[in-house]
Amino acid sequence: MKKTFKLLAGILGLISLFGLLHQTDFSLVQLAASEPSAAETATQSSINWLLIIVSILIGGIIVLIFDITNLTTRVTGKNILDWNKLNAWLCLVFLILGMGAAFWEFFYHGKYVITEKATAHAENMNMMFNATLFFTGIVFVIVQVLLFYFLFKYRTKEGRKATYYSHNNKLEIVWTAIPFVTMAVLVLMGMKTWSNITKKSSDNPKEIEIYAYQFGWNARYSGADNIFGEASFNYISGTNPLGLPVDAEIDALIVSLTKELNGDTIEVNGEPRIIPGLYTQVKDSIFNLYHQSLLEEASGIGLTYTEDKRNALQKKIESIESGAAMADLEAAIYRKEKQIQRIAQIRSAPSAKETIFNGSTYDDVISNEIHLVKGEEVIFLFRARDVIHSAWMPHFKVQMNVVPGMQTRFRFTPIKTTAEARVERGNEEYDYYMFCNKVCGSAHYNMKIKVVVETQAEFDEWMKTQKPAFAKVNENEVQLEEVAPEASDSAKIENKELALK
Amino acid sequence: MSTAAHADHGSHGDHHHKETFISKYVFSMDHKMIARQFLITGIIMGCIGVFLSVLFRLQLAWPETQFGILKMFLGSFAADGVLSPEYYMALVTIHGTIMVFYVLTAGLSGTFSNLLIPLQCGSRDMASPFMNMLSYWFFFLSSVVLLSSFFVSTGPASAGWTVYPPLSALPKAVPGSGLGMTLWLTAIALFIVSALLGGINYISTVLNMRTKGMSMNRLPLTIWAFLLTAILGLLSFPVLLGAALLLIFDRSFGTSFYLSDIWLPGEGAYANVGGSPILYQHLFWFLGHPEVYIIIMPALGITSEVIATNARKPIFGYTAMIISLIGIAVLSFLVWGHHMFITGMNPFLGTMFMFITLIIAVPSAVKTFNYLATLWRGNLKFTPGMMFAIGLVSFFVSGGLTGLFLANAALDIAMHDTYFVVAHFHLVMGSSAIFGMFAGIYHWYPRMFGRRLNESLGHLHFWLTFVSAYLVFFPMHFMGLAGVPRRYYMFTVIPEFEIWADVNVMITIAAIVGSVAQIIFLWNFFSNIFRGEKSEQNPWKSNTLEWTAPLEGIHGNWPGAIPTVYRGAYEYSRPDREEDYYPQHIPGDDDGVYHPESEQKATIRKETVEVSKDKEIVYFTALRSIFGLNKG
Repeated sequence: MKKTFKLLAGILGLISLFGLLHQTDFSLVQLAASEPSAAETATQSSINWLLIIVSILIGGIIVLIFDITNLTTRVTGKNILDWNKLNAWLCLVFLILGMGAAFWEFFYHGKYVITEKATAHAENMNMMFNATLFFTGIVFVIVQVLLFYFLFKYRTKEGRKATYYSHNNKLEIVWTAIPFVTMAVLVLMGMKTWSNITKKSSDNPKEIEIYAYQFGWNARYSGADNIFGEASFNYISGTNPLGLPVDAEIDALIVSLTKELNGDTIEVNGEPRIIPGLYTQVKDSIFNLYHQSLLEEASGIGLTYTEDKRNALQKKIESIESGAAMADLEAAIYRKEKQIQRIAQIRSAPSAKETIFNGSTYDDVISNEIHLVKGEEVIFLFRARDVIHSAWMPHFKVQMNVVPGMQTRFRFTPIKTTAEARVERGNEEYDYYMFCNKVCGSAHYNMKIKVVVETQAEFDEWMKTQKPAFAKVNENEVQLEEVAPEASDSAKIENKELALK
Repeated sequence: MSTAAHADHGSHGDHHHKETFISKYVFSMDHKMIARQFLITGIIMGCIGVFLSVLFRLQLAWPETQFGILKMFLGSFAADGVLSPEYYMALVTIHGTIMVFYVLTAGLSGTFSNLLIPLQCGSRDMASPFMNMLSYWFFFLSSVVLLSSFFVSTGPASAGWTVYPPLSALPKAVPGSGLGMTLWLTAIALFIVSALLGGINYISTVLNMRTKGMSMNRLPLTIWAFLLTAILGLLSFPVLLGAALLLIFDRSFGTSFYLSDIWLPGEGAYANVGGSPILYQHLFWFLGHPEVYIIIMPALGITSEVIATNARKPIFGYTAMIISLIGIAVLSFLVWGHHMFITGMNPFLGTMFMFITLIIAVPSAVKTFNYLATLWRGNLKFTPGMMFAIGLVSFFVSGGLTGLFLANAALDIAMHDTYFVVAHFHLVMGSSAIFGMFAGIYHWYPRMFGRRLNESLGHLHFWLTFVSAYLVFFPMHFMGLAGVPRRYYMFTVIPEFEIWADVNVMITIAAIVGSVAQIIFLWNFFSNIFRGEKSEQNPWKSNTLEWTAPLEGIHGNWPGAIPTVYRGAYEYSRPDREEDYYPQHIPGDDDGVYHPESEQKATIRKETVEVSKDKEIVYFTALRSIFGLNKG
């Protein structure tokens, strides 16, 4: 009696679910129709919603159907579905379809796999890859076929008893030894390939510095003298984004750092205005005054304030009251004092003039493209400005992390020019790129630099068009071309804001 | 040998003090209840983790398309229904963290270690029920802290689940490294406390509290797996705690363990100099690699048990299975560098890590072959648990083999951090371990709740999940080999990757189908807790001890004395028995091993077994005195 009741309840539930589906469907369409303003996007969004809800409901219905079959099994005592038989057959079907799909994919998507020989070490690596693929492919097919075939073959049958077979040492030794030997082969081959790629080159490869920052790359060539100026993060400024050892730039940087600390006087509408430095701002009386002014501003908010502006004001007040603003100021002072100290330390070293500030940096060329010469061995010297990046050139089989505070390198020889790659692909627009392959922040997915491989003549031609990053003689005309524009100093902006109060 | 200490406990087991709601369901010290708490929390976390993956899969399939669902759940992080790049990273990070730690470590190992160690070893409860309770509540607290980071205005941690500094140390580099990251680190610290409290308990229970006759060579493979998992966790989690603490110092107290030479716009040059970001990676992967075995080993243990029971055959090569588990456990500490081939470390180190990593494939291969041999000439009963265990074997093979590519330092140059890696680990430890967990849930649901799950729904759940998991992860191998990097917000900005647009759509649809299929499971699981058909005492006709204790789950597990064990856990289909199983606790006139030869030989064996048992007692008494456990 109770069971029949449950069955009835289940059917009723199913019917009501259909009703619900119908109703939901109806109301959603209405919703989309009532918003003609955001026409396409709104419809798109409701369709997506609809899809999700419908799929959930379908799931629910399937659950109920199965529940009902279960209930009827309980009521009538008859099994509607013989899962043992069904599963055995499904395993067989899965094996055939799955293997078929895997092979189809292997040949269909397999053609996108990069087997291009754009670098000297690519051939060696392709060979290694194919060897591994050969071994693993065999094991994959054998094991999966045996697994699903056994499932089909040894499905339970009335009155049959499984074979008692608990171990067989010989067999186990054999199938320990076979993978062991295979692994030994792979290890030896792998070691050879790896040492081929990573070993030191006998000749002197051309050095190119690859500089990574959020979210872009630069390439630096050492210029005519073949020597890089020894860069440091200490020297980085808006006009010297790679932190090269340029005396005039560093002097200017120290002046601006000192001004940020001590304050400055600027001219506003012909009148001198004092901008308080960090040392002044951090004083209790001044800080409280700033707090007061913000509070006054907040109490007198007029209609002119937008929501964003009001929120920004609120955030400022909160950060003052939580102590975060003060901590930030103190941290900024500490940072800048330390930076000045470090620069002074580097400059005061007795050998600094010969080793660092020897002028070798003035002919360095900074570029927004990496230009390589076909057949010429290069070594990339990687340097990062902020977080870990990773230089990833899929077609060249080149990848190396770019770590702040640590120089990493990668040596390789490109053997195919961009022009050849274009012909091969039948695509006149095609270009090689270096991507970032270590998550580095919001625009990580779009951090790339064009890589051009060309003949020596073309390279020389290009190099001629590049100007050295810094003019050596005239210190007042120091300027930099084609570099990252985002180097702004928000501390400065904040100072000005304070001064304008 | 341990029953003596607990005999007095057992004698007054039936007139213990009255349980209130709070002491029975909330702050319970009963291992069966704690297992259920771990499981249900794990399932909830799993739902959240899977849901997050669907959200970011929407973005990957249809970049910059507006989805009402995103706006509804993420608010300002998905203005106009389009996920922001920062929040995409946050979703990826939290998805990884939840799945690796909260579902597959705590949800899997926490649940089944707690449930099965006392029941299969034959003990009244864990060595320290109080620490066991603390373990759960630290885990719960950790989950709450982690989830609370969704409500922080700068968003949750977004530096990837490995949270490499300097990105994770600099709030100015990415918004998620602000308060969100602090909460992430706090959550992980709490999680480690939970894992350690649990682990020490599992180890001492297995070593000290086995019932009479339950020698180490009669232990079910589940218990061996849990024991080795706990040892791995105990040795590796403290290193992660150290790494996390140093990162907390760097973030909040101005130290420079991981930081050097950093310049950010608006901030200028940082005062931190002299640290190394690579140090963090060494510390992290020293846990990180054993961690993947912490995840997969319990799943393999569960699979051994489920496959043997449902094939009605002894597990093939019991000793080889244990040796390969030990081999995996030991080697797993020596392979962490294969995550770091391209960090610029010395190429010679790369060679060593490549060598050891490829060798670890040998014990894994032995395990797979032994599973196949167990199925051979079996009498296979396709329960849902069995199907999921088989799914694990299939995934373990598919995903494990691609590991041979990645373990090769040279090949790793062209594969590191591409979708090939995503495919590899989602198959070999993601899908595999989840399937192991499902196998365990379907197999021991009657043991946990005294009721049965709907079998048809179980099979439907299996096939939908199995097929969709392959559809999601198999094509990713080819994407990776074509150079597509992982953790990219979208691929439309790079013309070369546009050929994968259709595949991305297919993967997302498969992922949605697979996720929706989990609703079947949720319905099956939660509704049958109360209305499921009452289970019989030993529904799978299994040999192990947990099916001898009353299913309603009384305090102290067995109403009378704890059963004595007379043989190994896998004596199925013995030719000298009419029934196809031979429970461990039923006395027989044999020595626990079937000898088809002569009686004479059997008696000789019997003596040797006893001698070895004496040795064992001496050995474990020594161990106990080392740990100072003799007093308890």
